[in-house]
Amino acid sequence: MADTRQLKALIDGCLKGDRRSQQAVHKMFYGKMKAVCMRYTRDADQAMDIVQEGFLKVFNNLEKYTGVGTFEGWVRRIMVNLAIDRFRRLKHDFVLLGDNQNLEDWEEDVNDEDAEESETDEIYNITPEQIVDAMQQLSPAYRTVFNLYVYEDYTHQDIAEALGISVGTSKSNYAKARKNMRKLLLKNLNKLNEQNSNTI
Amino acid sequence: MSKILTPFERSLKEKMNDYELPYEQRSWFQLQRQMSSVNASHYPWVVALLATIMVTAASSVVVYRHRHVPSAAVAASMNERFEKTISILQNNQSSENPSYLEENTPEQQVNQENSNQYFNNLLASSNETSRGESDSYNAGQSNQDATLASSTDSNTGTQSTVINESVKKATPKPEDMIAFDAPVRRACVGEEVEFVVTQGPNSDDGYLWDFGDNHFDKDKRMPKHKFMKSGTYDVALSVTNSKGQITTVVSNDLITIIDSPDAQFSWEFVNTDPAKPAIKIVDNSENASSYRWNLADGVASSEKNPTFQLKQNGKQNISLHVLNEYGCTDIVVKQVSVNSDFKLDAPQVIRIGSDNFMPKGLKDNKVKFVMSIVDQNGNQVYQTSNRLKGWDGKLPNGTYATPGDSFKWKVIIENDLTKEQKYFNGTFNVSP
Repeated sequence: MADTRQLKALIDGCLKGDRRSQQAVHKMFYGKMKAVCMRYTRDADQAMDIVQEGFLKVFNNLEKYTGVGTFEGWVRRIMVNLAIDRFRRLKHDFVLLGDNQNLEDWEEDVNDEDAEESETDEIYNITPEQIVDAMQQLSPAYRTVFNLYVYEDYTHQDIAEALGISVGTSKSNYAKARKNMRKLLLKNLNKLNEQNSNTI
Repeated sequence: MSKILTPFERSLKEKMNDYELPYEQRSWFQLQRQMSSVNASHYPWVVALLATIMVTAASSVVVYRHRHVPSAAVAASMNERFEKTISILQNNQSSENPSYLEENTPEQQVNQENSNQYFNNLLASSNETSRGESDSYNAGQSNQDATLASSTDSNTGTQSTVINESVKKATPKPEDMIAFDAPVRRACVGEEVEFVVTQGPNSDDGYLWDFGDNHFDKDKRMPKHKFMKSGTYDVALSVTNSKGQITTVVSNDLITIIDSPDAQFSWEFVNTDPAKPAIKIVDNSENASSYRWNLADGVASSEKNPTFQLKQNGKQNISLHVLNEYGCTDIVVKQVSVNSDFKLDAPQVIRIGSDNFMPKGLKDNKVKFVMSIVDQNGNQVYQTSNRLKGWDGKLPNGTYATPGDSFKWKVIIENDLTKEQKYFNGTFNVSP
């Protein structure tokens, strides 16, 4: 990570409109931000769109960065907010809580899953690429809720506000998203294991 | 409200902490285009026209700029060329800085003068993004207006007069001219490279260096930098003047960094007489073109794979100093030992029929070894790597050694991890 002195000099340069400084900042954070956006989108092209728009916003709103919190965190929030905006503009495909399903049921579901988790150690051996791959296969609603809950530390209350849905919807979609993630990752692992055993 | 993630969720989160995708240069070019189009989006066709002219001009100007080794790795996109050309031209306007003009033909001079105008116009309009409340900023504003006002007939002649006018306003003052150089342009990985400002403000303040390897330095007129990867690097220097204006100059492919060689070697014992240990060096160095071997006892060699006679007892260092053709170096030191570090506790005498020859140190420890036994005539009579199979005195012809015979033995122990070998030798007799 670049040291703060360097970064400060570059931010100063960007504020003055210096292209080299902008390019340096872009170079510094591009890889990380693309990795973030990959999780929020279906493919690399969509991720790239958000990254580009995000950096435009970063450079155009740089004077709004107050120095509170890390610069990387600030840039990342811009990217995440863009991803949320984009999601909101699309048609939502949330699975709503059924009439006969209440929050207690949902919590039981989650507890069951926790028991199941401890048995599947191999799922902890997955790579970041596999995680991204699985995330991209989730539906946009699941993907967004899962991202916000796990990676952005949002609570269900925060998610509900950000996406304009109810807390219950956030919770139930999250539970389903998580279940799907595990399924996708395990499927991936099994496929890999089979391939390996075939080659031996 | 804080929440607790389950181990599964936590693991998914932690895995992504340091995940990063590779940099894509083209994304910067796209972004740069988007940034410029935000400023000029009201007049897209003017921008398009300017861009077309610049493409033509840039390709003719850029060529004579760089006399260093061109790097295939640096994909010279047009956009970046513009940027560089702009800064080069800024420099060229100074009569005190003729270094970039040395190879110009008269036609190029003309070209350059024409393109100067366009680039300066571009420079001036790009100043609009700057927050500096300076003359140049204002000049930039009016330039844009002037260009737009007169370019309705899209006549090149009209364009150039207007732009000509803007050139006068936007020409950087002599004190804003900057230039720099690196006295040594080819260096090894990890070697310190020095840069010097040859033209620019005398104080250290306001300098920002971009060494092209994602490392930066600021407020220095003579920075030093170590490049840690081989390659060819563009180095850029930006100077902020007292009005907050920034001038940037880029030197394309300025520094070439060469991989250092990697010194590596192993050895094998090649002596047949156990009493005279000798090793043959096996050189495994990479990218080395010359070698210098030194043994602790003063023996030296510059062969690639020399053979050394070792002293009877003790440890000694063997050092290998390699150079590649550019003078980049690497050194590795290893230790060879003869009858040292521990005692094998070998028997001096064996009795045929009741004893086996196997040093106690080998019998009691599981180490990787080869033991050879040689008779007085120098013929090997036995060899084993099994600690449980000592020599029972049986000769290769099926008979047994006769009492009174004397034998020499050698044992080479190899360290499983380092593959380094230790040598042991001695003699024993056969008793009646």
